[in-house]
Amino acid sequence: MRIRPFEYHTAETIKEALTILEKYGTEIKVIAGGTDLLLAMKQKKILPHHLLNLLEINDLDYINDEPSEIRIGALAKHSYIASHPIIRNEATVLAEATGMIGSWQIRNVATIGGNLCNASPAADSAPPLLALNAKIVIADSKNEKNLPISSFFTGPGTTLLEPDQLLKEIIIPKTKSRRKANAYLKLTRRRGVDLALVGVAFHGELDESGEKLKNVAIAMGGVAPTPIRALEAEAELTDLSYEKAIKKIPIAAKAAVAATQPITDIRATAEYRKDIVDVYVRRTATKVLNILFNKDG
Amino acid sequence: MSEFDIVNKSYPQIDGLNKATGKTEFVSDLVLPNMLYGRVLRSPYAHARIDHIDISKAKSLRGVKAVITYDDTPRIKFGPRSEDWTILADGKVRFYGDEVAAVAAVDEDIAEEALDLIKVEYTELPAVFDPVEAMKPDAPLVHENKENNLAAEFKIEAGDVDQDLKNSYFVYKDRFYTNQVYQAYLEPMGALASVDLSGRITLWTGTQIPNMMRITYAKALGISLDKLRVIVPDYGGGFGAKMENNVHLITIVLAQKAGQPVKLINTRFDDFVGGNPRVAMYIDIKLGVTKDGFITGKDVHIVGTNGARTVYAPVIVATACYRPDSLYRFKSVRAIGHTVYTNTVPTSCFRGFGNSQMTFVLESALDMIAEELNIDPAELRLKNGIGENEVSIHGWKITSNGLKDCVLLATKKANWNQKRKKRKFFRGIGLACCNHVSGNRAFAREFDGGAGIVRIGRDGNVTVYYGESDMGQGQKTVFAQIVAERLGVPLDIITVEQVDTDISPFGMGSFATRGTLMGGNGVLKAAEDAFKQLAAVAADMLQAPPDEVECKKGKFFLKSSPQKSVSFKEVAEMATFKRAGAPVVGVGFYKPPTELPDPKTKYGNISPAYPFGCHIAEVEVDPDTGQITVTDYVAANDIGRAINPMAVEGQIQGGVAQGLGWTLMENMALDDKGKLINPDFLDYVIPCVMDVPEIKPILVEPVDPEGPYGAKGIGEPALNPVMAAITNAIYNATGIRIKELPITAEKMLKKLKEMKNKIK
Repeated sequence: MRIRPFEYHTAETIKEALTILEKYGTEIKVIAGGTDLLLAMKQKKILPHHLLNLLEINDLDYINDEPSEIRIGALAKHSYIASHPIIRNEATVLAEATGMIGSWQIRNVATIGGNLCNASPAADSAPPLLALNAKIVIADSKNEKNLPISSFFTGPGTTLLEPDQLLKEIIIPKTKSRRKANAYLKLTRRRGVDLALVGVAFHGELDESGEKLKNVAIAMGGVAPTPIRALEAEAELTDLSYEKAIKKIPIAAKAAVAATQPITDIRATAEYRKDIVDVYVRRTATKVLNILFNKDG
Repeated sequence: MSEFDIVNKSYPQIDGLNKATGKTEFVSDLVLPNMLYGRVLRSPYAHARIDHIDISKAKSLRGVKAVITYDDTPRIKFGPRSEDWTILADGKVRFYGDEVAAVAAVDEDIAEEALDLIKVEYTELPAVFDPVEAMKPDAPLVHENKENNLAAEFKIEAGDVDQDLKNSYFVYKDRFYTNQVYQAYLEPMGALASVDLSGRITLWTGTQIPNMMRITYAKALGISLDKLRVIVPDYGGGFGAKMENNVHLITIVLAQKAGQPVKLINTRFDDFVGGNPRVAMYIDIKLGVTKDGFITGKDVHIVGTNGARTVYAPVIVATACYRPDSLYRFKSVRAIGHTVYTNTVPTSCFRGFGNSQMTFVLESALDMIAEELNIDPAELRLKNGIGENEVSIHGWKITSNGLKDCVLLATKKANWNQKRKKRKFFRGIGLACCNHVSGNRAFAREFDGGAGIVRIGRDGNVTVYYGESDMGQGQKTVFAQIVAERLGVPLDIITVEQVDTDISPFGMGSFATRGTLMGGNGVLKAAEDAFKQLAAVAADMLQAPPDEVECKKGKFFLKSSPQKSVSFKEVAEMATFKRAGAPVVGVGFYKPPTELPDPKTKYGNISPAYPFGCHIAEVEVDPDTGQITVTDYVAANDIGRAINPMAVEGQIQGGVAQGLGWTLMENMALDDKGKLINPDFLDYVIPCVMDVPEIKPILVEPVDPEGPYGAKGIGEPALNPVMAAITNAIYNATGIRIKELPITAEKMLKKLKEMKNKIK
């Protein structure tokens, strides 16, 4: 599998990158970690005439802790995110999910921006960000805009990013709740170095009284053309006490399954993916509820 | 305290440092001046007529030095076992990945670009992928002259099976299926070929059978044997796959055509679709027992996938038919094996060689019988296991035999009795035994045995030449230890040379778990010869008769007065001077006391020594997801005296990990057109370190009368019992009998659901 010849560009600032993107339009592909792109080029799924390297751009791999949000630069590597204390404390589910991507070697070079822009329906970083109501910052040579991540993915391998645009940053809003918890589970065919056949992220918070669940968010990867939220399942659990919520989990899990439209491929059948969504929603929900309400479980 | 200085001791591999630091030159690393790079154009269809090939555009691409099709080859039908090969496709492609044309160019990019410029017009033909389907009368024929697609039929019978089954208290009956798996060695197949002015060919390749390969290839090329020299550099693993393959011959024809050396290393894709994976088998078994648990008769029918041409599948199916018959005391056995052509990649050897397939079936059947009779599975094995100095039903002379110890020590270490009694939900423990050979007389062509050359130069350095093949399993280290022990010198003065058919002994190769015993005995005899020559010189120097002289730790001394000594180096120098510069060269060989099986009854003694084993797996099954975790693993293997215990442990751990992968995840999956849909490590899943529990090896070391220092082989018996040990544990955990490999989480969940529905 040899890579076809291409012209290589490198940018040292975002501005410079955006100028180059504008010039080459659909002829150019952006490369950061390259862990997905180079494979696709070797397999000749894409044959770009130009590549634009972003890794020389200074200071786009940050994780910034701000009063009301966490900002992650698009070039932040998975290993950095997975081990960062802010992420581990404030967005545990993202630390868990990015820590399960590929192998150590992959996590040391692959970036979160790349994981999102590659737009695999099974991208591990997507369900946590969906569950955390993250926003993304998209830039072109004229301006920048914030969008909810839920609007970013348009299909398998596609996003609303135009050829002259870059994903610059991911913003995770901080919740004001006294207590929050979240978890990620990923189905793989072996215990490491595998992609997600199914990924489930579950997030929940306690209301002011400390008695009831609120802001429940369930997001899933690998079970639809894009990563998706299970809104009806979330509604099933919202505003419930621990005991009621625990009892309701199986119903919520069924509702989550109903939100999926998985495919059958060599990795798993649609039926099995649905079975796993059911199990993983139950497991993540139970885990999160037990943490939130201080139960042993 | 050991009676030995060097053998029976753990040493790191003598080439380990070079490998770990990247200094080793593997086949893929070799470069010659003016060398070109080759690539193969492969068939996109499982079965098609080639109507036209246009190579004109590819030929005119700048940098392309040769483009070949069938017409450029010697057009000879050949094959290691059946003459159903041609070097490139002759008017018809027979599997997805079949070799159609090839290119040599100045670099790999150009070679690949040239492939795209070759235009081939095909007419697709009906194809067949399953061997049972292929035997049906209306199935498409893979080779027009092979009726019913039958590549080979093997029959074996001893005793009166029908009568014994009729008289049995219980007969277990079932059908099993073992799937096609890929050897997944680190370095794909490939070669470097160079042709000199006289037309003599040198082929550098990672092969397990340098000499047998040479016989096949000389025939294919229409040349005499002496026109082909095969050199075996270090190479990245084989596990049975690296025997004959068209990729080597294509490299040679490209080099002939281009007049320049050509290196052709498979891409991983090429290796998946054009390698030689394991023979898939349907196995029907009937196994009878008496009321008190003595095995009576065994009746087996096997249908195995040959693929589109014959590599070694027929002998592998034959091995499945009868090898484990010498594990237990059967009263009678019968087996029929059909090896069937299919429009799939040609299948061949993979660690276990048919015995692994059949061991899975036999050991599963015994587990069911143990349950039926309410006998402990370990006890059932002990009751029926063949013993020391017994002759098996097929005439195998079992000499050293540690089977009983393997069962006793493994069950003790695994805490078997307690764990079988204390049942826990979805946790289970299972056991399986195995036997194997240390060399297979029935497989070796021309002769059986091993030979060695030991050269000692004036500096006292020792160079060992052998004729088998070290693919990474550690033969070089084992041979160095044997020679060092026999000469009485430290290990670090020994070099083991690569196999070169111009220099090395003509060894049969590395297969049938034969390397340590056959090759080891060969170099041991050579070391003995060298020692005698040196001892005579040392005796002169010490003014004593030669039989008074001994050597240890690099010093010759007198047995009666050890303080009188002279160094090995001084002796080597003196020996060289006395012979006007001629080095001391010891040559030796070992002819095993084996008997070629009778062609009709297959009665005979195929190996000089037989290793045994007993493995115990513990598993946990997730009832919601079906995921199976092997939580613990004890592997007791009778390997005779271990030359290098650490290397043996490594072999056992590797074999178990490989068997675990086969059992739980590995599968070559075809679409309905016969195209391999997972020709990469993304979707051909092999275990990673997290999937493999701590494997606890137990070395059972009965000193074997034929083995070098008492050693037998370990390569294949490290894997043979793994599949059944795991699936027997799954049965213990869930009550579900696994009859098809692999058992993935999804398949397991489906079975759990089916069982739940049944109980409802």
